[in-house]
Amino acid sequence: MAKIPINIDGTALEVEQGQTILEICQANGIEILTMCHMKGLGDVGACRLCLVEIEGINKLLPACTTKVAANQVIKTKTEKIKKYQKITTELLFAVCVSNGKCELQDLGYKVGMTHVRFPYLFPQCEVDTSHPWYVMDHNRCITCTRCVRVCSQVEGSYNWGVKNRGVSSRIISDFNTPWGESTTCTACSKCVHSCPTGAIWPKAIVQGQLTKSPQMIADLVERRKMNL
Amino acid sequence: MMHDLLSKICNGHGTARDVEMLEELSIYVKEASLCGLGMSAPNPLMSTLRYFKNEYIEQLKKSDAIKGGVHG
Ligand code: FES
Repeated sequence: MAKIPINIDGTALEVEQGQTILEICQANGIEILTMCHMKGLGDVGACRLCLVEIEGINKLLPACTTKVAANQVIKTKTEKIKKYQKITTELLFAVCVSNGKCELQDLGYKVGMTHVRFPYLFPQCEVDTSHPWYVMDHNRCITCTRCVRVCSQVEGSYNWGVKNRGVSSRIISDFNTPWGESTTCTACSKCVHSCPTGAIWPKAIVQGQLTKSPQMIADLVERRKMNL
Repeated sequence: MMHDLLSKICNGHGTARDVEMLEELSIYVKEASLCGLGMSAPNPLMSTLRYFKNEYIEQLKKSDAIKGGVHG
């Protein structure tokens, strides 16, 4: 494929066309914060953490869904971006009450968050314990839709979906029925591993002891490609 | 969240920090949104902040006066 010249944070690079800005940054050791992105899954640009500035475009674009174009001058670490990353993270915290080990907490440390300036929403959400092995705690869900995508794109069982919009968005099992009654769920546990917070977890484990392997999903996708 | 902040200011419980946060959030929502609705939704609010700043300041002064009365 054709190589095109671009510039990221002052470094000139020659890259292949068709890649996203995030892919290029990761390949070149430029750190971009992400939350809804997960290796192996299709991107949706939902969390707005990976926003970058591109010269000549007057709005910020998410690196995970934006494909590079020739001669783009991209900035990933401006004061504005850093400030927005902090607000985004704080807003995610305002809906998430998870206090276990979670990717969201790590993110908080990364953006230098000391406290949440926004009032917590404390939505009173359901905790679905109907599944024999796993629990879905909607109170800790930040609706990144990683579970939804892993379920449809990798496992192919289409159990998870999203209902409503904005702050009332909720992840649902089948047609908004208890997870335990799902006719599509294969109990494969991929959603457990893809969840960045503590919203989906196995019953047999105490919160905080859970070790997830999100890398497993990307590896799986890669291995399947090789078999084809 | 922004609606709550605005109501708080209107009801006489606002502080300068609330107005600041309202400004910060409006700009953030406008610039970081995914869809066109989000990009334009804060516009009316931002216009009031731009053209009626004095009214905000007046309201804050009133709020301070009420609070002062209650506590002191
Ligand atoms: S990682 Fe790009 S928007 Fe979430």
